[in-house]
Amino acid sequence: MRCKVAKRRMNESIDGLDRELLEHILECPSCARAAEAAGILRKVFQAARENETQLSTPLEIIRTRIESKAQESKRKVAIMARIKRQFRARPGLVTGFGLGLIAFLFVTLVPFSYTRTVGYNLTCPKSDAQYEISTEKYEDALELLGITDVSVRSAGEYYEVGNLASRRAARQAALTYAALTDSEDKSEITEVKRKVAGSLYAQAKENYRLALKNKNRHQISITTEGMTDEEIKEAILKKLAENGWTDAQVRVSTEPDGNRRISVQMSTPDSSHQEMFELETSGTAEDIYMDFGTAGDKLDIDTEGKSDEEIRQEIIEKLKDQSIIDPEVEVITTPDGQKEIKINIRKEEESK
Amino acid sequence: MNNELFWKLLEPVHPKAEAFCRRLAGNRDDGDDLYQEGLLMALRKFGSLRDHKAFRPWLFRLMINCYRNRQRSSWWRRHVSLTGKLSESRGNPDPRKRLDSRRWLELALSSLSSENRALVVLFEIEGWTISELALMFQKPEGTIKARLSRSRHRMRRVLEKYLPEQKQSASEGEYALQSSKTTDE
Repeated sequence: MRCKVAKRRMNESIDGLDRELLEHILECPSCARAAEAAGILRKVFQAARENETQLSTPLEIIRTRIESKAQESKRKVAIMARIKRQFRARPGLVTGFGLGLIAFLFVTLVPFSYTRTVGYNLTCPKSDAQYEISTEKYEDALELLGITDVSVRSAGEYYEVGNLASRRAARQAALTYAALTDSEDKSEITEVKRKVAGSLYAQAKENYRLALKNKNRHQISITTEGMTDEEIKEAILKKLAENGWTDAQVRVSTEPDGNRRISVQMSTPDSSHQEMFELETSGTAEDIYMDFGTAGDKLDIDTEGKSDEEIRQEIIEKLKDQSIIDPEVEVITTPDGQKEIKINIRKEEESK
Repeated sequence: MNNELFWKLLEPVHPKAEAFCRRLAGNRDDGDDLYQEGLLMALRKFGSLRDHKAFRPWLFRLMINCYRNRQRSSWWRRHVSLTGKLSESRGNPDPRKRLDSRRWLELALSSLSSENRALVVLFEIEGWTISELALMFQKPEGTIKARLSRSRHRMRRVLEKYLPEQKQSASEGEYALQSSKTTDE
């Protein structure tokens, strides 16, 4: 008998070996080894058959378990089966989903940044004409045109208008100034550029920050026409109380030149923050607008590994975001390594 | 009503089916998991079973499919048995002396594909006939026989690797002869 035939016979059945096969095994060591393995196989199968006494779990227990699981997974399976069916029917969906996910992660997380125009500044040279106007009047005029939330300041020979939202608004502001002063339009419009993060995550974070800031801002307006100081004080207190500021201290006084001086001191409802506002209104002003905020004005600056100048620039940028133009910022590193930061802010209607 | 019928049909098959799953999975815990998974699937698909007489092959077929799906599942979902493989050292060829026949069996079965493993377990241990297997796997009897033969060859080759080398051919022959006699008796 040949080895090939012997091994085939061993494969055909593991139950027993015939005489012819045995004779071959005695002569051939290779086939003997195969026969030995076959013998082991036979024994382990036999042992497995005899070892059928494994305790089986009572059917009632299995039934309880399966039925509760079936109940749980019924809904889940239905949804999953529907999704699986959709994916099986359209194999391109998997690729599409994968690519979409990669694109989404890229757009959301990759921190690429770019420079963007965030607003416009207008510089108008003061005219020599007799029709010079005050900043308040100019602001009122702009507001009538729908240009709000701008900062107008007089700086020597110029009027500077900041926070203009668009070039069109800047142009309108320039023409308004020329018309009010009866002068030629010599104003200059400059773009305010800022490096912004392009990732969706960074933009969402920025939007959230702005929303939070706006949430913490309140505005009250009072028409003061024909009102005495005491009546204005009562009106301010009433409006503040409506906004939850109950412990405000308001002082209203009229100066000899007819200007009104209003100061308001109050703390946040949780007493964690104190604010002091001072307003000066001209005799002609009939309306008072107070725009005040709380926690939203906090500055978060990471000073790690930054030079004093870099920190200074960052503070100026952040203050600019809060409509505070040209603050005086001084950053000094003391000999013991501590940073000493001095910020001096001057605003027309508000000082902190 | 359908559920009641399912449990009624399962009752006589339950111990064998559970044991089959344990053999297929290689250990009791994984086997029980497999059995429950198979039963869940069977319960859901019971409505599609037309001939209730074919419940047993249908149920076993589902169990095999479940097992095959588990083996094919992604690497992060695959179940890995904590039971270690048979020691690489060459052991005693007689399983009775070492009481490790179960491990020898697991070693032999691990060399097979999930489908062939099920086939061998059903034929060699559960005692299914070739015709029953042919019906269940929906293959001709010749194919089933050929697959069983190939599986035996493969298992034998695996076991051969673990046999001690120092044994002389004469004693091997003697061993084979003794086993043959035992079987004849």
